[in-house]
Amino acid sequence: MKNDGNISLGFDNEVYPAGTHMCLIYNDEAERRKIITRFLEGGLKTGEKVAYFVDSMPLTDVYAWLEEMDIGIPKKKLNAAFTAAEARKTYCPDNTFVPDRMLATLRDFYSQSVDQGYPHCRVSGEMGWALKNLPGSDRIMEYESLVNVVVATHPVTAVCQYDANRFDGATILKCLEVHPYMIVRGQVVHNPYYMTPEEFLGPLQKQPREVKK
Amino acid sequence: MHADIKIIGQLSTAENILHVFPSPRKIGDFSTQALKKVPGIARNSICFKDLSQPSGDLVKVPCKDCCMASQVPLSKVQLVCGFAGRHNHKTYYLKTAAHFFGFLIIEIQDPDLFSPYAPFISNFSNSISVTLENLWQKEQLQTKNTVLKQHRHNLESLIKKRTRQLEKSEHLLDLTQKMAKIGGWEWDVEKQTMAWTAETYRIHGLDPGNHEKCSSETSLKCYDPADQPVVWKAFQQCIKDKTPYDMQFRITTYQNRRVWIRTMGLPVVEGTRVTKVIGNIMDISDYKKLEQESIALTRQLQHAQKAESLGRMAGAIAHHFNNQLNVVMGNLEMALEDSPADAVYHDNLTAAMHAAGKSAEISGLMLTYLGQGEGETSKLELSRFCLSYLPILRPTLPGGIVLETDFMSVGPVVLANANNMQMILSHLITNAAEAIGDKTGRIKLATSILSVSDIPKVVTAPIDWQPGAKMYACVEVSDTGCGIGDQDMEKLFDPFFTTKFTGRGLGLSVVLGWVKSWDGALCVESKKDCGTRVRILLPVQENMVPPPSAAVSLWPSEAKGGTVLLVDDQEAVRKIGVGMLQRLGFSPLSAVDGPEAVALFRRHQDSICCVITDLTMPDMDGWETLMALRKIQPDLPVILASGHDQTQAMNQDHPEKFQVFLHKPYALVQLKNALHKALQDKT
Repeated sequence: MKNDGNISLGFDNEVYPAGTHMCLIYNDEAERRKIITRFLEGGLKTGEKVAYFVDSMPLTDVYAWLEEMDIGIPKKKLNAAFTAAEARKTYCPDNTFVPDRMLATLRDFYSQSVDQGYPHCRVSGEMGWALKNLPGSDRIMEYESLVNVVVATHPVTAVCQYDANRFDGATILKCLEVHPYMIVRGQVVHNPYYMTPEEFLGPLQKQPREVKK
Repeated sequence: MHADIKIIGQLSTAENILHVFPSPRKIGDFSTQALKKVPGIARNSICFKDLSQPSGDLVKVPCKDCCMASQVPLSKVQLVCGFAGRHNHKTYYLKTAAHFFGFLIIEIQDPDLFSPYAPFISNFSNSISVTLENLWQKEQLQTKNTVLKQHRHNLESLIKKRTRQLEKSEHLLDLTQKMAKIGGWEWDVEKQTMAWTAETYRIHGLDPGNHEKCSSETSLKCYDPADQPVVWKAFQQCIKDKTPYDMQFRITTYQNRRVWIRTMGLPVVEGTRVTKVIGNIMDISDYKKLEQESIALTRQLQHAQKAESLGRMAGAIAHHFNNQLNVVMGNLEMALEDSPADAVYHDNLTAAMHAAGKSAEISGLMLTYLGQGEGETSKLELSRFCLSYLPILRPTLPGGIVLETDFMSVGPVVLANANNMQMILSHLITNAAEAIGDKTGRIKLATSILSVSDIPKVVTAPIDWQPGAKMYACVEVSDTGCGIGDQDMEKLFDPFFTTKFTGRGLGLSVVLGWVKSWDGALCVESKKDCGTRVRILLPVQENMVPPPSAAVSLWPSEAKGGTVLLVDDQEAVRKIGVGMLQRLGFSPLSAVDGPEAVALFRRHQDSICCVITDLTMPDMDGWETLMALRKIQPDLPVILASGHDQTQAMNQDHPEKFQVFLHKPYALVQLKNALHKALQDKT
C-alpha cells in the first residue's frame, strides 16, 4: 500500500499527509463553496484523482461548477481525473446505508487511482443524505470513525461536509468526535474532540468488516 | 488538581465553532453535549429566556420561578433562577450588556474534579452569550434587511408604477400637444438653462431628440430680423419687470416652413426674484389661414350684399324709371308727330325726346350692370373679332402709345354679343390709354385659352364667381400706365364709381354686367405706377367658326288695325299706351290689372285681336294673366311689355309663352313692330 508524502489541501498554505480526514461544519454556503472549490482545484491541479459526492445540487451543476474553476488542464484529462456522483446513490446504492460497503468503495477508489497512475486521490462528500431517514443512516458516525482506519492503509484525503443549519447540535458534536481534523474559518485544526475508532466504537469494532458481495 | 489540556482544548474548540450554529437551540444542544466532556459535571442544561424547552439533561421543564415563565425584565434577572444558590449547582448568566438570554446550569458531581475547569466554563458561558448576542444581532439585521427589502420592493414597485404613470402622462401630453400644435418651454434664470417639450422642437422644425439645439438662440434665429429685437425685449422684460407677454409672429422653421406662431411667457417669482420663465409656443398657421379666409369671406359677403343691394336698387329704379320714361317718351313722340316742324317748341320737344332717349340708354346700362344685358348672343371667334376691330382701335390711341397684339391663330370661340364686345374692348383700351396719359407706353391686346387651374387668384368680379366650365377664353388688355390703388380696386366695379371726371362712372360696371350675362368673369391685376392687366374670361364654346351674322329683317311698316287690350297697373302708362295704339290705328281697350283684363276679354273676345300686358302687377302678374287669357282663347297673341330685361322676363318656365317682348320705354315704331310680329305669328 502506498503511503505517500504530504499534499496541499488547496485552501491554506500548509501541507498535510495524504489521507487526512477532515470535517467541514458550515452554515454559510458561500464560505463552503469557496473552501471546497479550492480543495477540488488543489487536487486536480496537482494531478490527483478527485471524486465528489453531491447532495445539494444536480450533477450537471457540479460539472458547471468545475468549468467555472478553470483548472487549465485538457478536458479529456480532466474528465478522466474527476468523478462526480450523487451522494445518496453512492452511499446508499440500494437505498440502504451499509458502512462496510461504503468503506470498500473508498478502498476501491484509492486502488483505481493507483492503478491509473495518479500520485494521490481525494474525495469530498455532502453528508445531507444522512438526514433522509434511509435505513442505516443512523450508522453514519460509525462509518466516519471507521474511515480513519481505512485511510491509514488507503490514504484518501477526505473532507466531509456537514451543514449546521440541518444537523442538530448533538450530531455535530458526534461529528467532531470522529474526525481528527476540522476546518474552522478556512483553517485546518486538530480536533481535540477526536476519539480513535477504538475509543469511539469500543473494543469490538477494532477492524472494519469486509463487505459481503 | 490541574485541568486536563485536552479538555481545555475541547472547550476552546467548542467556543471556536459556536458561530456556525444558526439558532439558540443548536447552540444549546451542542454546548450542553460539549460540557458533558468536562470532568466533575454530572448534568447540565441551558435555559433560554425565549425558548420554552431547555437544552441538556438537567432541567426538563422550566421551573415555576424561572424567568422565562415570568418574563422578568433584565434588571430583576439576578433574583430568579430555580437553581441559583442550590448546593452543588452552578448557575451562569448568559447575558451581554444589552440582552439577557438565559442560564447555563451545571450540576457538579465532583467539585474537586470540576474546580480546575470552572474558569474555562465561565469563559465558555461568556462565549455562548457573545454568540447568542451575535445571533440576535444577525437576526435583527436580517429582520431589518427583510423589512428594508420589502420597503425597497414596495418603493421600486411604486417607482415603476409612478414611472409608468409618468410615461403615460408624458405620452398623453406629447400627443395632446401635437394635436393642439402647442409646445412648452422653461427658462431657468439661475442655471441659464432652457427646456423644451417635444412639440416645441417640432414647431421649430427640429427633431425632438436634438437636445443640444434647445436654447433661446436657436428659437430666436427662426424669427424675422425685424421681429427678433421685439421678442427678445419682451423676454428680457419678463425677467426684469415680471411682465408676462403674449405675441404673434411669423417665423421660418429649420425646415424652411413659414408658420405663424403665438408665443407666451410667464415669470415664476420666488420672493422678489424671477427664477424661471415658463411659456408656450403655438403654431397658429391654421388659425391664421382661417382668419384670413374669414376676412376674405366677410369681404366677399359684404361685396355680394352691396352688389345685391345696388342691384335691387338699380333694378327697381330701372323698372320704375322705365315706366315713367315710357310715358314721357310716348307723349313726346306723339307731340312731335303732331307739332309742325317749324313750331317754336319743336326744337324743345326734339331736345326733350333726345334726352329721354339718353335716359332710356342709361336705364338700359343699369340693367346691363345687373347682368341683364340686352342683346342676343352668338358665337364669336375672339381672335378674328379683335383683329377686325384693330383698325378702329388704333387711330383712337395717342401717338406715344404702342398697341401690341398677341392673338391665337384660331379661336377661341365664345358666346357673346358682338356689339357689346366691341364696346367692352373700346372701354378697356380707352381706360388703358388714359392710365398712360401723355407719357409713352404700351397697351397689349391678347387672346388665349386658360384652364380653370390657370385662372389667377386676383381681384375677380363677380366676387362670388365660380368657374362652371373646364376651359375659358381669355381676352387680355394690359397697359404700362399709372395703375390702380388698393383702395380704388375694391370699388372698381361699383356703378357710378370713377376716378375721372363725373359722367364716366358706369363703364366698368356695365362691362361686368355684360360679361356676367355671358357666364364669364373679369380678373384685374394692378399695382400703382406699374400698370394694369384686365382679363375677360368667357366659357369656351365648341370649336366651330360661327356662321356670318344674318341680316336683321325689318318688320313691315304697315300696322294692321283692330282692338288691342292694354293691361298695366300704371295709369300714365295705360294712357300713353292707349294714345300710341290709337295713333297706330288700333282700337285700344285698357285694364288696370289681370282680373279686369280677363273680364274685358270675355266681353270683347270677338273683337280683341291682341293683348299687351305689363309683367309686374298686383293680384295677377303678366304670366298669370297670359294663362287666364289663353284658357279662354288658346291662340290669342299676347305681347309682354316690361322695363325688365327680356331674358329675365321671358325665360320663365310656363306652359304658355308670350309671342313678343316689348321693352319699355318703347317708341311708336317698336310698338308697331311688336304688334305686327305678334299678329303675324298668329296667322
